[in-house]
Order: sequence, then structure tokens, then C-alpha cells
Amino acid sequence: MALIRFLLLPFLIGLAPVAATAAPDCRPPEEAAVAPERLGHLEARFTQTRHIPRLDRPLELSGRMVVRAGEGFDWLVREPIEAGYRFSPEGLTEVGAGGEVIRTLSTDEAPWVRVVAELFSAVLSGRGDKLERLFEVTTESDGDTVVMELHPRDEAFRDVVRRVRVERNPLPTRIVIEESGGGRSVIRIEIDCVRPEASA
Amino acid sequence: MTPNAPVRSGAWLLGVGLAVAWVAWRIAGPVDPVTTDILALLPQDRMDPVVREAVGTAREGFGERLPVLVIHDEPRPAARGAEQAESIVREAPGAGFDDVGRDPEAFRGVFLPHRFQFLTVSDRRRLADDPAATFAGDVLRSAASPGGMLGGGNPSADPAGYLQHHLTSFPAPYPGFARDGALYRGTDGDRTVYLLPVRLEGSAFSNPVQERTGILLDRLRSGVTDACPDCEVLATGAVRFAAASRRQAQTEVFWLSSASVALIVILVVAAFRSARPLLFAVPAIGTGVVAGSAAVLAVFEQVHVLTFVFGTTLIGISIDYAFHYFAGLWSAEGETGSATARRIRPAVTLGLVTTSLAFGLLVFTGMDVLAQVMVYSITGLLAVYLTVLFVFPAVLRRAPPAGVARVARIGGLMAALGTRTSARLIIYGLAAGAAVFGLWQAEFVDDIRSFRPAAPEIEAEDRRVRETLGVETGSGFFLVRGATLDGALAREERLRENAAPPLLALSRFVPSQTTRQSNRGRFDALFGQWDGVTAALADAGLDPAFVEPYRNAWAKRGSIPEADVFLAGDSILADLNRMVIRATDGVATVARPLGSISPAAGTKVAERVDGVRYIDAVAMTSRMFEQVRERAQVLLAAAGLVIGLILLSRYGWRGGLRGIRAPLMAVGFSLGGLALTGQAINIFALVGLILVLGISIDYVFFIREGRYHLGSASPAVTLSAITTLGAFGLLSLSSIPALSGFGITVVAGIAGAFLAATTVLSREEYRES
Repeated sequence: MALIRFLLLPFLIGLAPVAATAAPDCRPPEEAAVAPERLGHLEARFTQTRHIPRLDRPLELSGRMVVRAGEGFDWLVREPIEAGYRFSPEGLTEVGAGGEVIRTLSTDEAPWVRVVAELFSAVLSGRGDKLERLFEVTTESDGDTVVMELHPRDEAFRDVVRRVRVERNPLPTRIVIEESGGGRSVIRIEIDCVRPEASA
Repeated sequence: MTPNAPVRSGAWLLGVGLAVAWVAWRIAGPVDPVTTDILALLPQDRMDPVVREAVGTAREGFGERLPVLVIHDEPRPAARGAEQAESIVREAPGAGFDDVGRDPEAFRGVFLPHRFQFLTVSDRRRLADDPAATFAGDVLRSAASPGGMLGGGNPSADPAGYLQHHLTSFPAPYPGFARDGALYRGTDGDRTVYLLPVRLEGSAFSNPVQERTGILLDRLRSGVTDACPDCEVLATGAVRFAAASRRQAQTEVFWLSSASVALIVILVVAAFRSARPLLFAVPAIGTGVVAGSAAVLAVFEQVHVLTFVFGTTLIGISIDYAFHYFAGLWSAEGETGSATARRIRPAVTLGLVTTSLAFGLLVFTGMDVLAQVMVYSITGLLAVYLTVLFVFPAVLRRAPPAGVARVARIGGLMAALGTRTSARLIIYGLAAGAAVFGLWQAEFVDDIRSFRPAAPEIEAEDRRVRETLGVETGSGFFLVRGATLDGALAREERLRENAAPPLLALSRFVPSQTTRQSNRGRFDALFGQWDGVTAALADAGLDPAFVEPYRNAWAKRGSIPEADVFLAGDSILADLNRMVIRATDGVATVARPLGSISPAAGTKVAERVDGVRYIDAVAMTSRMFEQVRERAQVLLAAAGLVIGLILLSRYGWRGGLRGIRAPLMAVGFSLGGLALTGQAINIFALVGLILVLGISIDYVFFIREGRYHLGSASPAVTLSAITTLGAFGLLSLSSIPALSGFGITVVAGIAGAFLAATTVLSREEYRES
């Protein structure tokens, strides 16, 4: 395992320009104090436990994510494999460990790309209007933590996602996605920095 | 023994009645007998059958489509408008939605049992080195993808996403537009656009389809406006252009025919001071039109609308025979109709024979529409000929004395010109000048796009739809031949490596057997290193059980079938048979560039791969028109030669040469007229020249055969020329370029033919007569 990590190091460095550099003016959330609905940019680390149907052992993943409100988001997995997924309104670009583009998929080629892009953009950016448009939302509060349960309105969404649970304080800290096919993902988020959206 | 009057009239009535009934039956029949398709004018027998079918298939695909856009600044109103439009289309008879951009997921079921044959070029290349590590990495990447956690792909059946990659590599019919149910959704700047890919049942060139489409578009515009008042609705498609052409042609035929008939009526009444000739001339012309229509509908299953449009010219020609009869009867006081008919018979018969000869040559152009014009014209002329010579004498036996003097005065114009040396010199000078100017300025244009009537509004809408969709496809495509379908697909794959822009090609869906075997080889290597795969996955923390179903499926893999298997039966892929042409000597596929490519670039790319040919339907069609025109030029010369020999044999050297001079002068005037009005010479102008040749020869025969009765022959030729000029003068005003060029050719030619006819007799012969 250590050997693999050592061998992957150059690729990690290769991906660095995409992943590691914080955007200018991106400040820790406690300093920036950005309200979720005014979030323009978010960078965070994540760990994901993915329960795959029929498998005893879940798959553990970790990496970074960068959310650009209105433009899409990057999902940059570092463990156990180095891979980047850049979602934009036009589609998905898969990037390899060396930063090389492995493939691109437009939303009309693969409808699920649109589903993923809209779901993550809505959940991570904290845009209430977007969430309401895509989901039936029920909200509960537990102290400082707000728990939102999201049930997809759209049939295409319902085909792949049964329910999404988002915990926010006030920014998202934990997301649980229950797939219609029986899979389940638990994503824990540690936000590094945020930036409010540019004022008009 | 000549039948008596009641028998002749009865036979004529019966014949006309039968012809009318036949025409009515054909028009009311299940098959629309009239087409407006300009490509139907092509000489079908001279095309390679495979190319012909490919062009037909490509056109059929294009002709069936009616892309409709619903546009609004805001997404929600646009969605409301689109929803309303969708329900209107679903209820419309003969219309539905195109499934060319079917969701790639829908194809999964067909490909899944054969999954170990399909790899994208990129995946095949990546699997070439260390397939176990590559596969394990791809499985992990697939599982790590946010798509993986949302069911993107099918993890147990396709853990590395290779089949998914193949399915999503299918060409998108409307790049930038996402499928939304049966519709597509996209943007045009800040505006939301819904595309309704409407597919029509039947040919865009058939009248019922055009009428149904017109009704559908009206309903769409009003229905969408009700649901979304500010929504914009745009539509395009071959059917709209074809319908506009048909409407324009029908309107012009109606008005030009009506105006032509009105002109003739005025002339007849003015010349003969009697309405009686009208009572006979109009039915005579009608007989020609009905007989021509009946004949052409009997010989051809579908007749081009241009045949009927050119057929209106019959009115101008066939009236000549009637005029000849009236002028003969009116000018010979006391003469019976039978005697007049006998007297004018040689001239009219020679005129019919030579005009028919000129028209008859049209059949050798190999062009259906010209053969149709030939059948229409010759039959029509024959019907009028028989009516004038056999029915007129039975029903119009004597002329009233009042019109004689006026008829004689009309004929005086020819004698005045023919007996003056100065007038003759001016005519010769004009003819020579026109011919030289015409030949000097002659320009040949055979591009079929220049024959199409202008439809600026539809063209502007078409441009907007194309710009919004980002569709730039031209009329060209690649035709790829092979001994088998797999052979053609292998060549198509080589073509795709060279071609830019990308191609909509069958091999993108179903690669050749060779490529699928090569893909299978990659999987052979992969499963040969299966332990390496499971170790790498376990090392990364992914339970190797994740890929077990995949290995189980590999164990049950079947053989690699021929490509035909994928397209057979009621498979979802059977639609792709549209891209395949099966011939007796092999198979061909049609690959269409998804973007613009010049014919030269297309040809260059095609030359790099054996069995591939780039076909630009418009360029090819234009080339065929050019060939037909060149052939018609030769035929025109041949007709002139034959007619010249007839003239020489009948009138000797001096008289014959005078006769030959007349059609030459007429053609010279035609060329000069075309040059003066800036019209190019094309196949339709050539047809006009053949017509000019026929009419000018008529005049020669009328004058020469009637030289001892110039009192009737000259008025007949004068009236004939004036009416023909009127009829064709109107035609030259047509907005259909093919018709106006034809009209100008004939107007100038007939003016020349009339002037030349005054020189057919020598001054001495004029004086003698």
C-alpha cells in the first residue's frame, strides 16, 4: 500500500494545480462568515463511505471538492485512487492522476451527469431555491445543526436517488445519499475555505 | 370515306369525356400523381443504383424531418409552450417524434449480451498495456465517481464502465441540446429553446403531406401562443420548401393560364369581329390540355409539376392551328370549312410533324420531366390538330363576311416587311447582332439551387433554426462499399480516422467484426490476468466480489456475430438499417459528416480509403443537369439538321435555305434575349430553344405552303406570333427562375421567328402571291 502511495506521489503532484491551490480570497468559514445562500465558492475535504449492494465491505474514499456556485463543482478523489471529476452545466470531464483528460461526457450523452451536477450543486451550494425546485424538502433543527431530507421531484432523479439527507451547520457537514438501487453513500465534509459570491 | 359531322363531333366528345374521366380518376386516386421534387427531374437510369438509393435514403431522412423550435426568454413559459406543442404533435395525423437521438441507455439491453466486443478507441488503447492494472484502476475510478454513487452506469454488469463509454460515444443528433422526454432542451444565448424533432409520415414532396404539415404548423403556432403568448415558434424542413414551391407554381399556372386565355380571347374577337371562333378555339385548346394531361398521366406514374407548367405553353402553340383555320375560312369568302381544312392541311401537318420531331428529341435527354413534356406536348398538339381539321369543318362551316377585311389587314404587316429591302436588312442585322451578342455573353449555369423559386421568409426561418441548433450539415455524405456489411464497416472505421468533422456512421454504433475481434482480444488478455485485478482491487479496499458478476458474464460469452445480427429483426438497432444499402454485389453504408465539409475536402478524404466515395447530392445533381443540357444542345443541333433536310427536300436549295435561315435567326434572337436580360442558359432555356425551333418551322411551313393564299397564311402567323408572345411574355414574368428563363427564351425567339418568317419568301414570291 505504501509502495502504491509512493508511486502515486508524482500523480498527486500532477493533480495539484487542479486540486490543491485555494482560490484567491477563499477564507476559512469561521473567518468568512458566509451565509449559505450567498456562497460563491467552497473548498473542502471529504471522506466517503460507499456501501455497494451485495458487498460486505464498504468502499472508503477521500479527497477534496471545490464548488463554484452556478458553474459546477470538482470532485477530486485521492484515496484509494487518484481521479478527478469536473462537473459543469455542459457535462463531465474525467481527469486522471496526471491531470490528463480521460474522457468528457456531455449531459445529452449521459443524462445521469445532469442529475449528479444538479444534485451536488444544489446540496453543496446551499441554494434553497434550487433545492426546492429539485426536491421536496423537509427541515428539522437540532441545536445549531439543521437536518434536511430531500426527496426528488423529478422522475429521472427518482430513478437513481431515493433520498438525500443533508446536515448543515450552517454549511454542509454530512451528506447521506440513498440510491434507488440499494447503495448508500455517507459523505463527511470538512470545509477549508469559502468565499461569498461576487456582488452584482 | 370521311365520317359525317355528327359522327365526328360525337367521337370528339367521347374522346374528350374519356380523357377528362381518366385525369379525374388519377387525381382522385390513392397515389398523388403530381410531384414538386426537383430531384425527381434527374435521369434516374444513368445513376449507379447504389448511389441512387443512397441519395434517396439521405433525402428521405431529410425530407421526413420537421424540426420545430419553441423559444422564450424564461425557462418556465418555454416549457409550457413546448408541452402544448408536444401534445399538438401527438394528436396530429401523420406526424410523430423522431427517435434518432434515443437515450443511449435504451441501447444497453441490445449491447449487454455482447459487452465483451465493445470498447471505445481510447479504452482499447489503454487496455493494451497492463490490462489488469488498467481495468482495476478503471473499476475504482468508476466506483469513486459521483456518478457511481448515483447509479450512473451499471456497476455489476459493467464495473469499469467500458460498455457505458461505448454507449455514450454515440453521436448526439443536436450537440448542446439535452434530451427531455421526446423533446430536446437547450439555450440560445439567454433564451430557453425546446426542440421538437417532428417526423412526418410520407414524402415531403407529396401534396397530402404538405397540406397536413401546413395545418399542423398553423395549429402549433396558435396552440403555443395560447399557452405561452410570448413564445416564438420556428420550423424548417424540406416539406416547407416543397410546399412553397408547389403553392407558387400552382398560383402562377392559374394566373398565367388565365391571363393567357384572356389575351387570346381579346385578340380573336378583335381580329375576327366575331365571338364564334372563340366558341371553337377555347374547346380546341382545352382538348389539347386534357389530352396532354391524360397521356402523360397514362405513361408516367408521377408527373412533375413543371410538366404542367410548361404545358401551359401549349395554349400559345396549339392556337396556331385554330388561327390558321379561322384565317383561311374568313379570308376565302364563300369557301366551306372542309375546303379550308383541306387547303391548310399540308402546312399544319408539316408544322405538327416538325414540332413533334423537335419535342420528340427531348426523350433522348434521358430526363423524365423532358420526356413528360414531350408526351404532353405532342399529344396535346395532335389533339388540337385533329380537332381543327376534322371537327371544326363539321361545326364551323362558313365564316361571316364581316371579318374578312380586318383579317386581311392583319396579314398586311408581314407583306409590308417582306417586300421591303430595308426592312429585311434591318431584320438580318438584328438577328446577327442578337446572335453574336448572345453567344458572346452566353453563360451556362446548371446549379439546381438556382432553379428553385425564392422563398425568403422560409429561408430566413431555416437559417435561424440551423443557427440555433448549431447544425451545419451539407448535402454531402460518404458512401462506403464492402463485400459484406462488416467489410464496409471496417472501411468506414478507417475513413473515420481520417475524416473531420466527425461522422454519423454505423460503425460508431456497431464496429466491424474485425474491430470487435480485436476488442475481444483485449478482454482475453484482461481475464488472463484476473488474479492481478482482484489483488489490485483488494489492495485499494474494494471487495473483489464487486467484479465477480463481470467475470461470470465473461465465462458465458458467445461468439462474435456478423454486424447484420445487430440490425436484424425488431431490435432497437434496426432503425440503423437506414444507413445501409444492400446491393447484389455487396453492401454499402452511408456516413454523414456532422458539420460542414467542402466537396473537395470530402473527395480528398474519401480517396484515402478504398471503396469510399464522397457524394455531394447537390453537386452531383447539378452535374447531371449540365450533362442533360449538353446532350440537349446536341439534340437541338440534330433536330435543326433533320428539319433542314426536310426543308431542302421539299423546297429545293433556294427555298430550303430561306426556310433554314428562319429558325437560325429565331435561335439567335433567343440567345440575344437571354444575354440582354442577364439570364443564364440552363436546361430549361434549352427546352425553350427547342420550342422556338418548332414554332419557327411552323411559320416557315405556314408561309411557304400558303404562299398562294398569303391572305390567310400571313394573318394566321401574325395572330399566332402575337398570342404566343403574350403567353410567353407572361411566363417570363414568373418568379420561378426556371420558368422566367424559359419564357424569355421563347418570347425573344418567337419575335425573331415572326420577323424571320417575313423573309421566308423572296420579294418576287411576295409580289406573285
